[in-house]
Amino acid sequence: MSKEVISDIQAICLIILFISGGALALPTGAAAGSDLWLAILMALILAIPLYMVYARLLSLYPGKDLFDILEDIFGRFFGKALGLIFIWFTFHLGVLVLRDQGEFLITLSLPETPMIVPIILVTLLCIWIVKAGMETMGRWANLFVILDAPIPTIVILMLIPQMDLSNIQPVLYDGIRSFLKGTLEALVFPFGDVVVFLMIFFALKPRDSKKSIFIKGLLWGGLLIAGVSLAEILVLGEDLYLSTYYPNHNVAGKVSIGELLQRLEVIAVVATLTSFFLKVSVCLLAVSNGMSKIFGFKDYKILATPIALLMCNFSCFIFDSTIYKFRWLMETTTYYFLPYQIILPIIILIFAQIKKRNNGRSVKKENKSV
Amino acid sequence: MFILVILGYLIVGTIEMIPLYKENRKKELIIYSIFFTAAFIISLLLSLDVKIPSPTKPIENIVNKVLGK
Repeated sequence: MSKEVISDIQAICLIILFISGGALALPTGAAAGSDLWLAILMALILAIPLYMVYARLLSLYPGKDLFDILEDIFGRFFGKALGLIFIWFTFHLGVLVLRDQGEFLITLSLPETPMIVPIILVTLLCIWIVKAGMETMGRWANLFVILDAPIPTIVILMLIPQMDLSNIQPVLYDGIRSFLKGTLEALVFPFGDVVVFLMIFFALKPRDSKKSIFIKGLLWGGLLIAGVSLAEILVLGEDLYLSTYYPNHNVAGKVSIGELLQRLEVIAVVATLTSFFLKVSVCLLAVSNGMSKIFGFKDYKILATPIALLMCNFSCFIFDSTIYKFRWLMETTTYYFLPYQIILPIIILIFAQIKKRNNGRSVKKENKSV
Repeated sequence: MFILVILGYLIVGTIEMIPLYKENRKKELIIYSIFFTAAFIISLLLSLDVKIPSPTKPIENIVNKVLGK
């Protein structure tokens, strides 16, 4: 199989769409109350060193992904065991996003439809795009970022007449503690989810600067999320924002310019669904790539279908109700995903650096002795 | 309902597994069929309205215990 390559622009587009995937529709950093826009900006700043860690890991091993790196550092057995942990978290993330997508559609637009229908349709599309390969996904992201990034921006601009600055004042009224909690929430979702890209960026060109790819994607995606959240809280106010499950949809419905431009939530739904789809398919690609690495296959496309079907099944029974899901997302996900997104990559990077340095020393010694 | 599930899985299985069988890739075929059978069993149980225990509750309990809540 010839090696797949994606350009750096495509990689940046993938990261932008991935970050905006869940966070465009769902509230993030809700613990910070009316300061959540500030919490998201703070999380953006904190995410920069985190992304440096990811970029450093990838540039230490050009052309390889996380599973190769783990096997190289920890040996065959422990490397595969750690890989399985990463696979489980990625699988769970994909399941959660798939469930979000199905619930989003049936709560807002198609209340009579059973939830399995949108989930199955998106699962089939995801299988298709993963079978088509990484290059196709990159080109798809490059095309759809033109659709998905401007729509929320235009909606924000149209909402300016209805914004009320008193909704965010006074700043930091709830105290620094809840602000920090909101920052942590925003750091884990959506910014920390990008750890999935460690598992699929085997396709980058070896000479591309990983750092600039990650940071550019983070800045564009993060500013988009922060801007949308700021507009939402300015229009809705804290109480209404926290009581709705999908604030972006509510806000887009409030657009009304000269009795002519109204009810833009349909366009917002299109933007949200496409980015949800990309997030699920990136997770699916990562899981099937990891599974095929663990079992020693050459091609990751073989296992895409059964894993996608498993994801589809899990997303049907993983939560009993929407309300329980939102409570779980608020209370548990932050601490559940924390080790996988932040702690484990840092530990792996430390081990990788030590190993590289030792290798460098032994090479130098050999040179000297020769 | 469960007839539809069986039919769907039959179609997907024949499309995907026959090329693997023809190319004689034994290992891939075995792993593939393990995952595929797991998905099929869960789907069948879901279509028969059997309640499957969700991993959400145990995860919540573990996280709360670690945090000391």
